[in-house]
Amino acid sequence: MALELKSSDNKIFEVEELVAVQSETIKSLVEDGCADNVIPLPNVDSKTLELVLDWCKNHVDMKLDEEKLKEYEDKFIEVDQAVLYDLLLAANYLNIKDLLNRACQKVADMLKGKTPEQIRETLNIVNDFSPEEEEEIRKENLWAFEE
Amino acid sequence: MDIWEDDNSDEMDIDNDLMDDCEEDSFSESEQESNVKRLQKLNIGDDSHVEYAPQRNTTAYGSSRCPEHIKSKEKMGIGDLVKDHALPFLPAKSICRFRSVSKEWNKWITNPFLAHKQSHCFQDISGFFCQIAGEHSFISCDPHSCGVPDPSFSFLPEPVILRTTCNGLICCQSCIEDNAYYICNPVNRQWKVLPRPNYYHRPGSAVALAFEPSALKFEANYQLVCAFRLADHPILYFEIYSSRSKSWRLVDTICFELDALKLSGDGFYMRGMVYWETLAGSVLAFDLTYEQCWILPLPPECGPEGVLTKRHGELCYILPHKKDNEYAIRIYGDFKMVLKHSFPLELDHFGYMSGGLRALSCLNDDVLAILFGNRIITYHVKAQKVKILGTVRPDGFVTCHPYVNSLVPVDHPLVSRQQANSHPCTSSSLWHSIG
Repeated sequence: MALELKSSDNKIFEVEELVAVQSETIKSLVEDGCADNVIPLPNVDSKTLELVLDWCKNHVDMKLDEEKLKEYEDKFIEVDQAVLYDLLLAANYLNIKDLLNRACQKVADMLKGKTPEQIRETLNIVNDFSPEEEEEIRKENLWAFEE
Repeated sequence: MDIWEDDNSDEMDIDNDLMDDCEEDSFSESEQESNVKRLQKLNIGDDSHVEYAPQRNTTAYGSSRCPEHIKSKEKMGIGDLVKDHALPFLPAKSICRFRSVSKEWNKWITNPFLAHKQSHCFQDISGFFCQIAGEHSFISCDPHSCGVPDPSFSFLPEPVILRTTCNGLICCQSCIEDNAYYICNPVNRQWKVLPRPNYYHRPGSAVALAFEPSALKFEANYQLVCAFRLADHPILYFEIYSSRSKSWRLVDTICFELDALKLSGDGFYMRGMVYWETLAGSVLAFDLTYEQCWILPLPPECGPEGVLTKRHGELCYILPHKKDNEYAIRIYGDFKMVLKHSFPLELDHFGYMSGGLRALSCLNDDVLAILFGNRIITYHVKAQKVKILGTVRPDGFVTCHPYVNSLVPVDHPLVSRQQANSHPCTSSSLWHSIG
């Protein structure tokens, strides 16, 4: 049984139901009988959707071969930051747990050595602490700011 | 404070008039809205998934009429996703540093639920606690991201020796008086003194700490198992402290194996089992679920420079090997501890070394930690790359315990040591007769 998914840039992807239901979001639609027509996914562009569907397909194909799957996952997640963030957003939106976890692990690896300023910059977070408040947190956790 | 205290909690409110039936075959706009609400409802109770707003100004199903509560999520994006889902995969030092990113991040990071989640998501060995002659130090695998505020354990009320570690928890023992056991986490400086055991754990007894972080159970449940002998009887007994019952219990199973009578040190926990090396070149395994024990062989060339550790999710034994001037690391596994791999170790550019090689732990499937002279090094078996983590005091035998930089909380001591000791002990007569 095939499903049709439409990316934000209006590209249609035809996917086996077995592959698509790795996404809990799509799975519920199928179970509720609401997946007969094209399913629009306005939050995922075609480039990201293609990657996500590749992940899903390989997880169906390599289900029994743990080592091969691990090798695939390690290679899959070696992407640059922008693509990684897109994957994370898509995995969350489509509710694909293992992709979400893997992407989060990779993001965590990328961020763990950074300073708070670098974190704010890469994630577009506004610093809403006053300089005094920020200094107080620093003092309380001085060890975490030192080498 | 709610366990699941999250700024997204508003969005998790369910409208009372959910679930319109799918009356029509095609995707009508009202169906789209009800499906979106239904999806939100499905996400409740699953603490790892929260619906985030699209980056763009449309709802999930193309309707331009956005329900209120979805619109309010539009401002959230990658930052919130990372905060909620990626932070738990970070080591404790990084997480503590990120408290100063923003108020929202600080709020989430100081929430006990985050600590619980992180203790389950982050289980990498982050460094080694080293001790020699009462001095403690911590050698980190990555000083930027892994560390503790006080590696000297001065937050404990008395000087201690470090006995064993497991998944972020550390078991120490007091050097004075009646050698009380402490369970602590040096990241948050939380500690708990254990009540006095019912039996005397004489010198030569061995402990093992069993702690498996659980995604489901909020409280950190752990067990401290002690294998000990009574007087000079050739029998090994087991006494277990459980954090759940907050008491010690003597196990029915006893061990008559001669091998088991001389354990070479404290044990290693993995997947419901505890393993102690014996001086007779074997391993005493103890199953915590069925409370049974048995002997496993170690390779004939085993020795104090080898170590039991986990690799690829399985128990294995790592042993440095030297032939002429060539060094190798041998890895033994399976039930019979057969030789599985031998990796050559290129140490030429480190010059002359003294003190020998001692395997410390497997950090992950590809990286081993080894004590080389007085240097702790990591060795990547595939890339064949060596990295120095740090140095220890060269003037004696240093114990090195692997440690996970976890935020796991430990009970605060509810009872001071004096109070604990004054409680009547049902086996006090037995204690005194052995003591």
